[in-house]
Parts: sequence; structure tokens; C-alpha cells
Amino acid sequence: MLSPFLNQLFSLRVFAPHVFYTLLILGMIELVAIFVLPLILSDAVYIRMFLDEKAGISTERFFQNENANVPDDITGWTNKKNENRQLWVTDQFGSRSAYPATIVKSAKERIIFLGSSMVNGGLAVSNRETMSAFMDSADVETLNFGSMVYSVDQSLLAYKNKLKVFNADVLVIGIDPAPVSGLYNHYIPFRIPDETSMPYLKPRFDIVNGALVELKPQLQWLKTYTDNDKLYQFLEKNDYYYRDFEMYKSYGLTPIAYGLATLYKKYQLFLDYSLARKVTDPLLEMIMRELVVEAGQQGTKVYFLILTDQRMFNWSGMWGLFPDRYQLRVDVLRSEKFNIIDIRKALRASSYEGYDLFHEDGLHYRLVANQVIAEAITTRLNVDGVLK
Amino acid sequence: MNFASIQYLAFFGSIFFVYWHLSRKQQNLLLLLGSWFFYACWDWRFLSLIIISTLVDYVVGKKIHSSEVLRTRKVWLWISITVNLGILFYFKYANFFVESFVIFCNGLGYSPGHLTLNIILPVGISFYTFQSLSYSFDIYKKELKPTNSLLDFATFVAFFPQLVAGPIVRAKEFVHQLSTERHFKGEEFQSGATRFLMGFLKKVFIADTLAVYLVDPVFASPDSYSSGTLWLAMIGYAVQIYADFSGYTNMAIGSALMLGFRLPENFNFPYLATNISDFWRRWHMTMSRFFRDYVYIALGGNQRGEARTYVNQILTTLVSGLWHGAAWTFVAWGGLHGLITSTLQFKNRHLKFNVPSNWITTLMAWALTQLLVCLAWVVFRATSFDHARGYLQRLFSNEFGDVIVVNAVIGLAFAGFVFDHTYGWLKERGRLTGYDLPSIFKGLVYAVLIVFMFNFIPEEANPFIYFQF
Repeated sequence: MLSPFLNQLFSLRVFAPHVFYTLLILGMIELVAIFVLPLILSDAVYIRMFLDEKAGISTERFFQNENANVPDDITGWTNKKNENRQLWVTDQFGSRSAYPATIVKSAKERIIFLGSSMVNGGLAVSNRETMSAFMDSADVETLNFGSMVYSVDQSLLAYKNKLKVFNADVLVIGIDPAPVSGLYNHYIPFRIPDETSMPYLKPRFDIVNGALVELKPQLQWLKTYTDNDKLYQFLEKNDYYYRDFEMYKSYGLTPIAYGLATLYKKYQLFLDYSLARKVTDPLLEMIMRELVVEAGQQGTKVYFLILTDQRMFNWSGMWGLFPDRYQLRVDVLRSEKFNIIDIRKALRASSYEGYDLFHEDGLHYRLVANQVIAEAITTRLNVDGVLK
Repeated sequence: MNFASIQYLAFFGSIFFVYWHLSRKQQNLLLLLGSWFFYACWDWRFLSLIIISTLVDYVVGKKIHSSEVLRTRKVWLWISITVNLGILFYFKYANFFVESFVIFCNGLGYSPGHLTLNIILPVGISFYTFQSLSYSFDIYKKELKPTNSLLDFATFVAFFPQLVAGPIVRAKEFVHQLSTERHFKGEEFQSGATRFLMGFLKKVFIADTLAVYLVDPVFASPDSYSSGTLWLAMIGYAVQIYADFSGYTNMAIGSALMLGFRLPENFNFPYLATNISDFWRRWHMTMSRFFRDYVYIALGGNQRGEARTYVNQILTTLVSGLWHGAAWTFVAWGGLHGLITSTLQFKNRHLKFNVPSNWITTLMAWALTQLLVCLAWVVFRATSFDHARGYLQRLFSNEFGDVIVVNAVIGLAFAGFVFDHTYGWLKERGRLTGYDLPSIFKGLVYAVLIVFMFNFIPEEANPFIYFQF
């Protein structure tokens, strides 16, 4: 089968010798990069090439408490307290709330929000335009502890170790459009290489003998991330996305190998979508259950917001050919008896179009979307009789 | 779809693979559909403009050819001019003229209110309207017979390698290639691939590097940099715009050659020029000849007396400046070039100095020419006259301020440019004749360059400067 191809290739030597030798030498370089260099070069060398200089600056600023997020031994990072950067303002607890809060509970119903920047509003809206802010009223006070790139495991750790003291009546947890991947990841750039402003390290959970076990890297390892064997060994053993870094080591430095690796990744993504893989996951469900149990000890009710991005909101065109991941997630989690709030249904029922609801990035919500979501939560809490 | 992108490589690879398995007519159809798809990737709505230009000039060409009555031929030519320039004027210049009118009225103390139109500039509109228009012009001048194939003509107007930023190809040098059988030739493929690679290198490594690390930061806030840094950034911009545009041209010519077409050259080492006229014979050559043939000569060229020649020259360069962009800075840039050219011609005619012609005077003429070219680029790059004035004042003020350290990447980008022009200098003097490096050595260099570029491509490539025109 290869023979006609090889014949063509070798005929290049006669009619296009420069092209022939370019391809030949490029092929040799590719083979060296794939098979030889990983044996010679250390992880430290590769990680310096893998991350750009912005990641180094962000890491340094992170440990000097100069970013909007600061190191946190429990969750990896957390919102910096008393921060004021134009739209982004936090209080003395690091909460992005519309009104100042105290630990001592007032007569109002108290609702704590947890999740990623989709919950806290990121840089798309101001403090008074978040989904939590729209729920503030004479009878309800909200605290929004959502933090950038948080996954559900970090929400559990934050609630369990730091936020119980607020004695909330209701806990609202955001479940991102891709809630599973973050649960298997420690080092953010391995999973999201473009996230150079947040090259952070997070803890995660594993299920061992039917129970959650925390895997906790030392935060200080990050300080020397460009040359820290302990960090690399830990990540190699525990971070599912270390495989992506391994792929980069062999296939990331040369164009043909990179092209093939990209095709492989696209194929995997195609399988994820066509076979509806990673819609939900036993680990995700176990962490959600743990949140319900932890909150239940204080009589706090937990609601999970199933969040949607613009693509899932529309789910049409080419994407419409694949199974509807959002609906599948809602169905599975609802069948597991979680208190689910179907955000997509609420957004679709509103009179707004996708571009009214979503920020340019297609992920974060605009003001009107947060309003609609706040109404959906309020309606649900009223129906369930949770709000007085 | 940017040439310097994975998407373009995938697009071109798919076209290339299918193309050489087809008959000539099928090849042309594939090129037309591929070209329309290529353009639609920017904004499918503007595809209609290309189709309108194509249909109008196809019909006009036939009508002009079929009539021997000068008046009728003229009427049809004016229809083509009105439609093509009407499209160009509306989409590119309407906002500009309305805003200028408002400013003018405000200056007179009359306020006409807010009149800005919300019009998007379709990419490459200045190129394909001119190209389509040249077809009607050439038939009118009886230099070309109209084609009977609408498919061939539509392919000529939309041909994707040069659709959005040239070279501006004239119908008489391209349409006949579409009606000729094309067969895969190894040498053409090799030349095209090499040309494409060199263009890619110029764009990504020289132009984008200088833009990101030197030119953009300094031009964004010239007041905060030292005058020395401003000089460096000015030279950097001269190199950037050359590497950007000639890099694009190389990729266009290379892509076309791999498909069996020859496009005209657009650059001939412009920074080797020893006078401004020489510069314009080397810079954006296809645009220069377009304005020479269709504007300068149409105005009477040098046939109506000396004074009129100067006026024609300046008018042509003003129009050429306006063609580059809807802003007075571009017009001023064109006018400056026209003024310098006319002044030098006047001096050559009337003021005879007994200057010996040797390498020292040639070097001085070269240095003066390049200085003028670089200073004019400041006006071209500036966002307003105030911006240009501020930059030029600080340039000559010996001010202290921030400096940009010439790091290895900037140094290598400049070195790449010097290598390019040194090659041109040696080539012009015939010093490279007979020299040829072994294929294996060239292969090694190209392979290393490919890997090098792969690892140094900025994540978000800058758009080509000339796409905005």
C-alpha cells in the first residue's frame, strides 16, 4: 500500500530535489524530537518551553499577592480580600457581593454562591450585575464566593473548611459546561495551556474504596515550577492532564508531529461529543453528594445550577448532530435526586437572543442573563418553600 | 483566512490535492468555488460585491468589444468605472468624506450634526475592484479581447492567492493562463513552495516580531520613548511593512505557482533605491503601473508640458495615497512622494550640478532617499496628523525617555531583512550568477527554518497590513 506513495516521494528527488530534501530532513528532525529528545531533556526544560514568560510573571505575582487571586492552602487559590479593580470588587471575606456582609447572620435568608467565574460574573459584569446580586432584597442577602476557574471539588473544600461559619440557609453551586475535566487536574496550564494568567495548582479528589480521598500538592512547589522534580513526579502520578504535557514533549515541537497530535485530540473530542462521554462522572456525583451531606449537617439546602455556554444554549447546526450534552447532564443529575436548576431552560424561555445573554467569549453571562438566572433561582426556592 | 495560518495551509492543501486530478475546466471551477469560499471566510455577505463586479465587467467587456463607435464604447467604460468605483467609494470612502465634510463645516462654524455612516470595509476591495476594472480598460484600449467564458473571467477576478492584497494582476496577463491546459510540473511546485516558505518567514518572523516588540509599542505612545528609540522604531516600521507586504506577495506568488499560474512580481528590493522614482519602480510595482497606466497617462502623462507633468505626478500620487486608506494621512503620504519626485525632476532639468558619479555619491543618494522614505512612513503609520507631528518633532528633539533594548529576536529580524536586501544587491550586480547551493544543503536550511518558525510563531498572528486597503 505504501509503495505508490514511496514511489511518488522518491520521484520528488528528481523533479523537486529541494522539496525532497526538505521533507527528508524535516522527517528526521521530527523523529529525533519524538523519540530522542524526551530521553535527553528533563521536564524542567520542556516546562519552560511549554509555558510562556507570562506564566512565570503570573506565578511570581501570585506568591506576592499581586493577582486578583491569592494562594490558599485549602483550595489552591482564592479571591483576594478587599480587592478593587474597576468591575471586580471583593469584601473583607473575599466575597464578590453587592452589599457588605458580616459573619453574624441577620434576619434575612442567607444564600451562598460558589463556583467559577461564570457564577461570580468574572470581568463581564460589575458586582451589582451578578446573578447573586439580583437576588439581594429586603428578605435575602447573598454572598458570592465564586472564584476564577474553580471546579466543584474546590467548591466542596471551600465550603467544608471555610464557609460553614456563615451559616447559610441555601448553598447555590455552579456546575460549569465542562464539569468533569477540572476534577482530574492539578496544574491548570496542563489542562488549559492558554490560561497563562492563572498557572496555579489545585487539590483534587480520588475515589478510594468508595470514599473521597483528597490529593493535595504542596503549593510552595509552584514557586520553583521551572525546576522542581517533586512537583513533576506528583503531577506525573496524579494529574490526568500530565498526558497532554507528555504529548507536548514528543509532539509539540515539530509541525508534522504536532499536526498529527492535534488530529488525534480532535478525534478524541469527536468521540467525547458523539458518544456523550464526560457528560457527568462518578467522581462529580460523589463530590456533589458530599456537598449535600456537609451542608445538610447545618440544615443548609443545596441547589446546583447547571450552567450553559453559548454553544450549548444554541446547540444547533453542526453541533446539533451530536447528542445534547446539556440535556443529558440535567437528566442524569436529576435522576440522582440532586436539586437541579436548569439554567438553559430558563434562558431559552426568556425573550433574549444568545448575543444578549452571553459575553463575547461565549461563556460568561451578561447582565440580562444573570437577571434571568436570579429569577429562575428565586422561583425555584419559592416553589420549594425554602424562602420565607 | 490568513495566509500565515494553519487554516490556510489546510485549505490550500485540500485544493492542491484535488486540483491536479481535474481537467482544465474543472480546475477553473474548483478555483472559483475555492476562491469564493476563501473570501466568504471573512464575511460571506461581501461575496456579492465580487459577483457584481464580475458580472458587470464581463458584460461591459463584451459590449465595448462589439462596438466600433467611440461614444458607445466610452459609455460602457463609464458604466464599469461607475459601478466599480461606486462600490469602492461607498464601502471605503463614504465615511471618510462625510466625516471630513462635518469637520469642514464645524471649522466654518456650522454644525451639520452627527452624520457618521456605519459601513464595514470589505477586505481586499481596493484590489479586486481595480483588477476587474482593468479588464474593461484593456478592452477599451484594444489591448485585450474579451473572454467568452464567464467561468474564466470570474476565476480571474476572484483568484484566491491574490484576491485580498494583490499583486494587482491585469486581465491580459492572466486570463489566457486560465484558458491554457495546466499540468503539474515539479520545478514550478518547488519554486512555488520555496517562495511560499520565504514569504511565510518574512511575515511571521520579521514583520510580526518587529511589530510586537518594537513598532507597535513605540508608535502607541511616542512621547514616552527616547528620540533614539523613535528612530529605531521608524526604521523598524519601514522593515515591517516591507516584510509584511512582500511576504504576503511571496506567499501569493508561491501559491499561484504551485497551481501552475504566474503572477507578476510586486517588489524588487525597494530599500536599494537611490531616488524616489527608483523606489516606486521597486515598491508595490503592480499598483504603481496601474496608476501610471490608468491615472497618470489618462491625465496626459508628460505629454502636456513640464508644469502639467508635475501636476499629473502629484495628482497620481495623491490618488495612490487615498487608495491606501480613507484618511488624510495616507493622502499626505502620497502627496509627499509626489512632491519629492517632482522636485527632484525639476532639479535635474534646471539645476545642473557637476557631481561626479561614484560609489560615495551613490551611497549618499541612497541614504537620502531612504531617509525620506522612512520619514514619509511615519506619516503613513500615524493615526492622525497630530500623532505624526508629535512623532516627527520628538524624532529630531534629542529627548530622553524609555528605550527598547534590541534583544536577540529583534536583532535577528533586522538581520533577516539585511540578508534579504544584501541578496538583492548581489543579485542586481550579477555576483550570484553561477552560484548554486546543493539541494541537500537547501533542504537542511528550509527544514530548520520550518521548525524554527513553528516554535516562534506568535499565537495570534497579526493581520497583513495591506488587508486593510
